[in-house]
Amino acid sequence: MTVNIRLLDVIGSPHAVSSADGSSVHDQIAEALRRDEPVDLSFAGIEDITSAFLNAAIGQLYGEFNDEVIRKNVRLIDAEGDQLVLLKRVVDRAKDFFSNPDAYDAALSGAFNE
Amino acid sequence: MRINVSRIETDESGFAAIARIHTAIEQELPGEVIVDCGGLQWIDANMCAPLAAAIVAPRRTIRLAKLNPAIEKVWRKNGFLDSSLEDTHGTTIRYQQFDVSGGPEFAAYVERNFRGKGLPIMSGGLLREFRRSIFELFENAVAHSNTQFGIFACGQLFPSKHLLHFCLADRGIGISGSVRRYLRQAMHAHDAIDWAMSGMNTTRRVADGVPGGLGLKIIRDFVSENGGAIRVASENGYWRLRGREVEKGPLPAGFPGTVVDIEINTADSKMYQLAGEVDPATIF
Repeated sequence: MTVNIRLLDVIGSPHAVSSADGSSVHDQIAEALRRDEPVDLSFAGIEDITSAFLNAAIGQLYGEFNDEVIRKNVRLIDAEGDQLVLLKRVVDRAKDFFSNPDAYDAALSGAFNE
Repeated sequence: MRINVSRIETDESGFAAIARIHTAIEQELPGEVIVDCGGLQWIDANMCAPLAAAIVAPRRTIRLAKLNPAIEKVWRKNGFLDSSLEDTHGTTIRYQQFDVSGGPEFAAYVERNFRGKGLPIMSGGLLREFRRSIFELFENAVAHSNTQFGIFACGQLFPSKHLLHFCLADRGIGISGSVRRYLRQAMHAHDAIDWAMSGMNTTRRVADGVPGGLGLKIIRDFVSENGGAIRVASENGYWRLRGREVEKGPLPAGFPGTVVDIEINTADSKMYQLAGEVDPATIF
């Protein structure tokens, strides 16, 4: 059965901006994915959205689930163009972050050893 | 103690002046500390945020004395002293202190100060990106500052110059403290700020479970596109982005935490949209 998660309801405001709220959304999505249930994630009514929120809500999922599970089960509803663009950047970053952390850390440290 | 500068503007010397005020207060004995402001003729209103962060002092009660009438008037409009004067021109962005768990209060603050009323001349897209930027900044302070003193916000609209300044300050561990902990190596404070403000760097580790580092990049891209500026003072470092040009260097006096000021060109009429279009089916 599809799990409907409406950001506006979970957060209780149109400001999807804090990591704490993002983590609440993450927990609901993750719970559904662990049961292999599809999720409809609705952005309806959201006025402000940050990378901090999306990192916690969705980027964090990539630490537990592989791309295929997320792609197959999570459907985005009523997201606006700029919200999708930001989410894409967050997702690309999350994949990079979780797939190759050692190389990433080494590259950062190297920046100050030059 | 006495403030020994006549002007505090939103620049390197202004942040250093506030840092020196902090140092002087710290050297005072516990109890009431009277800060003689008689020599101060001008302070940018947005600098109330770092000033407030700098004068918070455990076991000391701060009293600002001999205020210049013009400064006092602004501070009674923007809430720094009190709210006894009405802001008839609608140019103040109120001073407010937030707890690190005060996300909802900060959202309400943004809603009150940045929806139409204060910023009638900004386009919708510009306002949306600006709001996103200050929410990202607040979350950044919440996540990284480790402050026990809260987060201080204040802004000012300068209609004739088509400028908006917004300042967030904290009394946390500073950017270099955070970056040093992560990279485990010594570096100048201004290099640490540059590292944090560059590209996609983050002090988050995979063990933390949540990726990070994108927020400051988005703010930087937006401000560059807008032709505005970002100024950061943190501990002994100063960093400024103007358009796409970065200047950085040591701050003559150490700021006790981090302050970030965003300067926006409010007359910018560009259509703001994060770069590119995305098919929802390709996101994951």
